[in-house]
Amino acid sequence: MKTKEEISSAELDRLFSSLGDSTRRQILTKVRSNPCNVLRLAAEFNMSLPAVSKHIKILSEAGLITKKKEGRFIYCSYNHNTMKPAMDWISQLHNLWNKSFDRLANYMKDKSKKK
Amino acid sequence: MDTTETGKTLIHLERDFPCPVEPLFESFLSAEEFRNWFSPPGFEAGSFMLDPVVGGKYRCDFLKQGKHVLTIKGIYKEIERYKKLVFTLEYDPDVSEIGECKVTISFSSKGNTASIVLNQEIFKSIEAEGRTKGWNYMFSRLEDNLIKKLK
Repeated sequence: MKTKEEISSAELDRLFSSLGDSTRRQILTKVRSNPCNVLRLAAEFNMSLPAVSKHIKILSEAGLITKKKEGRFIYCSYNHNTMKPAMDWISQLHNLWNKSFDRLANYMKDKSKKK
Repeated sequence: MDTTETGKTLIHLERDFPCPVEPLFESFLSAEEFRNWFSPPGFEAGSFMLDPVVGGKYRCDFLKQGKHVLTIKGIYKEIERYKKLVFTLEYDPDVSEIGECKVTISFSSKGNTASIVLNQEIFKSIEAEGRTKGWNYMFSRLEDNLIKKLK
């Protein structure tokens, strides 16, 4: 079980709320396979540069993408590590029940033997 | 928030137990029995207090090396003997808190086998702050990923 220091509630909130927008999810899908520059993203999503930059800023603040300047262009790439705390949290909940049910099965066996 | 409102399911588990449904159901509602099997991996059961009536509370303390480090607590919302159990679940005090969960456990029986279907979903605090859309999307993705990972 992780503590607050290891899995920040605020970080998770930021992560999930940044994904509550379909354009941002599409941007993530796009940069997941290959880093992509901001101009190209604006063209691909038929958006103005300020509009796409705003989405990128939100994704970047949530840690879902990393920005890197190369020459005149800013490239965005998907940050796989950010998803890990969320996955860990769900795994913990899953394990709580799964392992408990393993013990419950043994407990019920013992209980019926005693009768 | 009305507890009958359903959110996105975080966890869905189905299990069969080679025993009648009655003792299986009772093992959820007796503190003495519950502490024999309910705990997160790596934790020892400490003090368990259960008041298994609708509106009653439960509180389970867990230890590591004899020291209290975690509490799981909640309120019973529905108790339909040998059929259904609904309660809230939250961690206290120092574990990630992204919202209170609602746990629904349905019991059924076929011959000498009892079956449990468990669904756990977020039902408080996240929706209150209008973040449902993002969470729901994420959780559906996470659930899919987890299913693959845990298979």
